[in-house]
Amino acid sequence: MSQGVTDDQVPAGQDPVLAVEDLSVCFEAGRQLKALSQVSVTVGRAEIVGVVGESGCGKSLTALSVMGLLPHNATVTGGRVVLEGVDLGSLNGRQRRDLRGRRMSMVFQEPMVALNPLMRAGRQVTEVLSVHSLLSRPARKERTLALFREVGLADPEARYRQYPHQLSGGMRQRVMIAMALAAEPSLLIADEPTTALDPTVQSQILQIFLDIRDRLGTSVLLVTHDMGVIAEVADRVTVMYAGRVVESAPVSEIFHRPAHPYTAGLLASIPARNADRGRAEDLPTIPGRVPALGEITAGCPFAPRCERAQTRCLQEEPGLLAAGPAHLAACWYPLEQDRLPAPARSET
Amino acid sequence: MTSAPPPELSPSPPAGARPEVLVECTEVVKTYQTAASLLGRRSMRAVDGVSFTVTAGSVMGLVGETGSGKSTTGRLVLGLERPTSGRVVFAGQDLASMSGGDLRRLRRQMQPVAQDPYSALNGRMRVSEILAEPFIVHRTVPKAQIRRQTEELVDLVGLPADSLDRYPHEFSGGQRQRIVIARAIALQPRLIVCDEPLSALDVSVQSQIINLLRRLQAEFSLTYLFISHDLGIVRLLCDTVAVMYLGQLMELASRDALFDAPAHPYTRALLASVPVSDPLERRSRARRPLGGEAERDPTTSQGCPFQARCPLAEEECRQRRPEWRQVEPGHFVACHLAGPGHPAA
Repeated sequence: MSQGVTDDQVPAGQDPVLAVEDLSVCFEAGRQLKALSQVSVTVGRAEIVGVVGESGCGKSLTALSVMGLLPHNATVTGGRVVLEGVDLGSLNGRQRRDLRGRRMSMVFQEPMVALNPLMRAGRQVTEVLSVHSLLSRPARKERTLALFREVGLADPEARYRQYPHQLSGGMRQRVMIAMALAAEPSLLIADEPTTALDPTVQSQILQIFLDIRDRLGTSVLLVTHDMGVIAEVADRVTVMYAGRVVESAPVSEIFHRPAHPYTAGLLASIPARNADRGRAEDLPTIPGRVPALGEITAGCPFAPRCERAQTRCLQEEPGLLAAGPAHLAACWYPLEQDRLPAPARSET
Repeated sequence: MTSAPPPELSPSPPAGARPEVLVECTEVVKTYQTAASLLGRRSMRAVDGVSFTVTAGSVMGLVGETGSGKSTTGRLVLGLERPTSGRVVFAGQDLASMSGGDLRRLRRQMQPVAQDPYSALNGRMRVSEILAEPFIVHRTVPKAQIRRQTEELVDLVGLPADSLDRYPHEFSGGQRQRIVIARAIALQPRLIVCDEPLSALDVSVQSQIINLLRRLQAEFSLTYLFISHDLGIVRLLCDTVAVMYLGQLMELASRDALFDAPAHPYTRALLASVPVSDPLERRSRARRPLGGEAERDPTTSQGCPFQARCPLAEEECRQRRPEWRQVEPGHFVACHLAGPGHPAA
């Protein structure tokens, strides 16, 4: 094709849809508690980026910062969030509200809480369309029914008229995803979208994220604690611990060549990886527990639980260093340090 | 309803030669009344004709999704609910025939460990008081020795000795679950019914608690009924696994048989829904998640409860409830189509 040459000059996914750059967030609770420290995450077009970590690691707070939905006692103390080239910090409240829903939207863990219980499922979606589109009333209904089909709701006409309490958990989550997709956003942020669901329903919902990535080209920032969910759908992964990014890489790198001992520990905790282990043998564990805000001391925040930790780890906090192609890890003594140097081709 | 015949597991094993049956449920039904309407009262069978046995010293997993009746079954086994019909026998004694002091003495031998370690502990009591309570209630230990007993308990579950003088809010979720477990083993029970004991915990802490549960089971020859929706964890802990769906047992087998040769289409769907543990396995898996959700059909009680979602369902499945039958020694299935020569095999 004659256009091919020009196309090649614009590498696919060069401009990320979302770029979180060195974002820091503090909580005010008598004293300043640092909840996010220089967090950077990018999401390319039609890419699913998983943000994984345990309670208190800052993964949900990162998602809320992007949406501009931080709790009142939290403030951004540094860094910026750029959505399709627009620095969200430069916008006023009205401009920001306009972006929210139209260019990015969010799916929460508990659809029963996020949906309006007094509003029929159809209206929850048509309302989004009346704010973010110029469609007529009948067109809004048509579009809503199409969205319901898109997210795999059986019998969309019936669902349209039902209230959230008349729907099952899986159907509610589908309605919420339909709402989030209504204005065709470039970025969908999903915070533990399958945690409250049954296993068979979880795999149905995960399939929707793959479908919208492939069919609509939607980018997804998927926040989860579950490495299994990451293994199922993520293209790239950011691992967070104690308000920091500790590792970031394509999904196969994370699973096959983890560089950070914390990532390796999370992987070792996946039950399926231990299915063949003898019953008398202990499962691998990460000793200790996740530090609370304000318990984080100098040095690497993971050092107190890390069996590889040395003096340097307790004194000096490691920044993100290259650990392979498109692979970063914040560790002074990463795993597989001595493997062959990565190929010269660089990806960003 | 068409009730399935009881399993052919021995109802009264002679002591000695055969392993002792600690829990035996026979045709257990638990019905709840739901809201009365113009059409009269509706009742919902939370547990619908469930029969199984748990061998002393073994771990049995009870797996199912929302509304499967697995938690209600756990409460029936603990005697916290009375069956509408059927029998729950613990250590040879029918729970329904007992009351007062006898029941209390029997209850000592069975303890629950619940999902949420935050609500299971009284926040106004110190750990020492929480752990002393079982001894005081059941008067099994002279007062003077209680402190020493609680110190031992705390040590057994891997908590520091100074934990006794602290309050639950000073502990993390994993540590609280250790306190709950310490309280559960205080009276040296024979059976512990664990209902989703790990699902509120961080992943890195889950394996610590799995290790603890395994260690205690081996050390005290405990029997666990382990209720969970997480097949990965069930595989790590259980000797036998029972799969429930909408109040009924679908399949029961040894762990290896269930995971390697599942006979019921629902068990297979459940296994296929466990997330892969390696992104490379994505492609190789059948990309056809089971449709629909577990929903009771209020219009009919006949047929197999799974038929509406079952990819193999035939006319017979809609008409007649499958009987509970043994397809291999120790391997039970409720499916018309399971077994040699059938499409589900």
